[in-house]
Amino acid sequence: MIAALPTPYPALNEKRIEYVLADENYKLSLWKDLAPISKGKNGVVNFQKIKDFTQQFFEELTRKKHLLDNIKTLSLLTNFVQASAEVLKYNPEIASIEFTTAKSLFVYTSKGTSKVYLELFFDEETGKFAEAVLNIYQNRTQELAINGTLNFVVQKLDGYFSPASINLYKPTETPYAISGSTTASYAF
Amino acid sequence: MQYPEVLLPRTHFKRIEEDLSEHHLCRTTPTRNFLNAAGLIKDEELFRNELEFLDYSTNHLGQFEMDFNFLSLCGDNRKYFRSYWNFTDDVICPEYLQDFEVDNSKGVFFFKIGEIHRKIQFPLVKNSKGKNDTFTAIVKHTPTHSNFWHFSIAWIDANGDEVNPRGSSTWKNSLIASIRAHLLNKFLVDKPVPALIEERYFLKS
Repeated sequence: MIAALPTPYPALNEKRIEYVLADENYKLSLWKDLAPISKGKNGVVNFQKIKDFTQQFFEELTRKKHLLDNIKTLSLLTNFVQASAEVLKYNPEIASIEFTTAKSLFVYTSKGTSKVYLELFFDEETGKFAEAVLNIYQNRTQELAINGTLNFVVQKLDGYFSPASINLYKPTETPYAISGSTTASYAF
Repeated sequence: MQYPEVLLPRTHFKRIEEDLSEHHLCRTTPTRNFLNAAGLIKDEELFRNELEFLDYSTNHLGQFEMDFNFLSLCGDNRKYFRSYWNFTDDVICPEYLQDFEVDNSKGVFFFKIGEIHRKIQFPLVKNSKGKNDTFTAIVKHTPTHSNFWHFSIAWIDANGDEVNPRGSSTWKNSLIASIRAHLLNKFLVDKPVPALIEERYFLKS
């Protein structure tokens, strides 16, 4: 995953974040990585939702540079992509993402009366992914609280949700401009 | 401007330990714009610092009126006014501009006590010894030198001891994430009807 990443950035700091944000190829690679693995039950990808979600991620990167010192870029992006794919495939009505003062990436989705709170923590010393904590609520009642690897906790989502059939969104224009590119459409 | 007398602790007051399940707590945020696009409280508005989740500061909405949320302690005595009262000392009354000011830029949200107190448990969190444990949320009366109606949301383990995750990052992570999830699940934006606490609950007999 994230094969198209242009550079294996070692760790984040304000300068590197600015570099990432200025790199349109980098944004595009992230978007392309996320799309094929966010398929609903019928294999359809909701492009708009993925686009909106990745845009939120970049806005958070911009707003909260000060919280991200020392986090390993590749670790952050790999886990962002995996976590996003796992929650988006259930076609949530609301999906949001936020960096927190607890050195974590907080992913929230809701669908009907179900709410999923997934928080990814990064080690303060190594900057690498440390663990994920998943909380699920239904009808305002706590159904599950569990921690572990990201692979382990996201498996639990299947017990509460089924990957959904989702509406096809056809992008009418290039979501991100590629410098020097002559093509305007992407095949996923 | 006078500091509201109703907020000051008095030596003939006692700790409130009665069931207040139908009552509400209020909590201020640094700004009025405290919700994100998903309708959740933004991280920086929910917690002022990382360790605050262990002793989450709120006020009981009743004798503590809605407008009191916009009083803001300031000055050199701020630490004294914010610290917990011991139920025996006479307290100093804060002076306007020297000790408190009005800050109308703050936001306010609410919790129903009955949805927090002993209603939330986190059963699969490992404690500092690597064993599974159960944490339970409690709402406790924690009056300060400037506010008798101050309450805290705290967390106890199976033995009834308050949780202290220092020294165990795994444990701390699980607790932070679960507390965040719960607070975000239970907060209210619309002002509930205030409920006065009966005098017999807080007056020494």
